[in-house]
Amino acid sequence: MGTAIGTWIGAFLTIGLFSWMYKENAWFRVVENIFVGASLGHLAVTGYQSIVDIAWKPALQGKAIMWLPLIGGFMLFSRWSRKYTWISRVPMGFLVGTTAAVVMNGAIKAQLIEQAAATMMKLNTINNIIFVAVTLSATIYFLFTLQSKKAEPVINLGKYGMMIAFGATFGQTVMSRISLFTGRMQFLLFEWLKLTPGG
Amino acid sequence: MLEKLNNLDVRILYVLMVIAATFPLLWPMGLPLPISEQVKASYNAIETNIKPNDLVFFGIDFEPTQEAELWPQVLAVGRHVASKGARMVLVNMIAGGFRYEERIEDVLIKQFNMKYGVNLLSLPFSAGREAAFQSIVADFKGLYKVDYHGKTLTDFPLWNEIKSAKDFKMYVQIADAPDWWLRPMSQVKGLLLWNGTVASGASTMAPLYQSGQMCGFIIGMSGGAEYEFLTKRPGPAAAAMDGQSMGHALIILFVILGNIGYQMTKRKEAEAKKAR
Repeated sequence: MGTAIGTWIGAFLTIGLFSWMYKENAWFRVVENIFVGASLGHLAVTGYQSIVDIAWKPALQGKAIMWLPLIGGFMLFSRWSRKYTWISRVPMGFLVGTTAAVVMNGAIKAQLIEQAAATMMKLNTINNIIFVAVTLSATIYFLFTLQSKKAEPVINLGKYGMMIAFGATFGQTVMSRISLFTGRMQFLLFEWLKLTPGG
Repeated sequence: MLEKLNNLDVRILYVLMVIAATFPLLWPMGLPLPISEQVKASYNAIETNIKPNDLVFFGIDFEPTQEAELWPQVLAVGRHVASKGARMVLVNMIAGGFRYEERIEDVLIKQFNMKYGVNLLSLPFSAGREAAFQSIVADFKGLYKVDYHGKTLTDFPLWNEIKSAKDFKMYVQIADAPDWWLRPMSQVKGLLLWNGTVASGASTMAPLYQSGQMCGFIIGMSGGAEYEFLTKRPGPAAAAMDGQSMGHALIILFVILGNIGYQMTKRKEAEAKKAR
């Protein structure tokens, strides 16, 4: 029974969102707001639960170091006061610093060294030659101080390489959106209306 | 004709798209689906590397909005890993992913007789994304105290057998494209990385596969469908591929017509300018 009600609610919300294709309407607006509200509500609850599990409970059990993130998090709320907004800069600075450190740690290896190493390949196949030529020319495209006419063909090669990449990204985005649509249609046809493929 | 094409009501295009993508769902056309070398290589990466009792992280990091593309991947890849006799630890770093963690846990227990706590464990959502992954690398056992169901982890034999992230053979991550999991996880020595992602995120992740940092990489619903065929269990992705193909064909047609219309308008304007 619960599943059936859930399916009907799902169908009501899905068709409400699809109704935008005809024109903007109240049903669509209601569903859109439900979606935003539910997402934020869910995020708030899971966020709250994380604070309780990761910091609050251990702090109460005597893990004193856990008071630091709790106090730091509390200090962030001072942004609401003009007079005391400076207090929030301390945890904010800490957050920016630690995030940068955490990201840099892995990014240098995974996204700089490994990626650069992957472009150093034997030029024994057409694919490899294209790969290296486009990588180099696309990088040269971003050397904005290089304005020489002689470098133009190289810069153009980089530009066309990037345009092909943007085209591929567009194609993949279309693929994603159609998947989303077919997924919802599968839900409406087979879970809600209980139809079967092949009639 | 050209004027009509340029001023076409967009709703007609929507209706055409609905017909193109929906009718094949009801009346499958059986369009061929060739299996790409990339999906075959990704399948083989699991087939050859995972041995019975190997520990595998199985990350499920996507929201319901990516369900159509990623749930079939979770099912197909999850079943494949389970069929190799691996011990699986389900991990979730995106708040909306817990629903799928629960669903795949149910499938693995029912279809592969996996014993919860012995060769299967579900860990709860952990906030912080990249920082949470960094915690897995630095102190995996310190990050979690209870499982997804709120039970103390030390009550489970599987948890007690694990010392750190280094004990794992592979990290299979089915995620909506971000690379924030890869940066920390690539620091675990000897851990093989495997990724299934949404089509729109493929361009972010593809270079990481091409550079050899990941041993497997499948993309979107088509990747899921090909994987379903390789594991000989056609499922939701395979069923949707006819609709997907027809939708793509229609988009290609729209793009061609749009460009013809654009070029013709441009030429007409140039001719009118010349005449003046």
